[in-house]
Amino acid sequence: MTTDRWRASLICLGAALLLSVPILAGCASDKGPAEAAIKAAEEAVSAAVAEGSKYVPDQAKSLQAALAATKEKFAKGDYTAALADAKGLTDKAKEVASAASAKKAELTKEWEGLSAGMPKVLDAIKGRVDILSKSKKLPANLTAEKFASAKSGLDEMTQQWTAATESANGGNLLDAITKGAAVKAKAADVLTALGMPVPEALKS
Amino acid sequence: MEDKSQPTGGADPWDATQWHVVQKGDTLSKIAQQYYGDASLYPKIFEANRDVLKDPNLIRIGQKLRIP
Repeated sequence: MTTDRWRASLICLGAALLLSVPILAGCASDKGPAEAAIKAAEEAVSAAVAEGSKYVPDQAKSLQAALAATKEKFAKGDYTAALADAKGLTDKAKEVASAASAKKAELTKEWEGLSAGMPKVLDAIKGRVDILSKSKKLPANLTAEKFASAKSGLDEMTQQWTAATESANGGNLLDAITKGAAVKAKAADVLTALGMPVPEALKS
Repeated sequence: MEDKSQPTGGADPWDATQWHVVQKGDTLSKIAQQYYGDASLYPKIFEANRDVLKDPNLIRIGQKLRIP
């Protein structure tokens, strides 16, 4: 009885070993292709992240995290999964690069509009502030406090606009537009305080 | 005080120019008083409208003046 049980156990073990050999061989055969696919994915991710981190930072981070996870699978010997992930990553990198390119075009257009229009608004405000600074008495709808606030607002906007322009010149359009949008919002408030009309572009 | 300034419009959505349509009884001094609180600043308006004004004492009803 004991001998029979031993025999049965040995047969089962042998069968299990025989079955696992092709599986292990299959996994090992994926090592080379997985390595090559990861290298290709690394290059694609690196290219996508260069612009992606500027224009679609969340997507770029997620792409880098996915690459790290794929490398980890490879390091743990899970070559089949690493190969499948790496192939998917190359496609994902292309999507991120494409999204970054679209976002860059959108931001460029937005900055072009902002940079063409905002200086005209700031000039108009400065012109009015300069004249009111020479006035012996402020107009009826403008208190001294409101005027002082408008003057400091103009200084603040001028500085912020310079910073926005520097960001744009440095290639950081996202930062330039964020700063420009703050100037735009402030300009609308200052124009209103000074009793001047708010241009349509500042209302949106 | 009645606001005679015109809202910005036209082709340029960034145009912040303020306009004043001359009403009966208006003078550049009165307009300067309205927008600047100081009638003596009327030359600022005159200078900004030299393309349509030859004499600061001669303005016409309905004329659109730029208020700098």
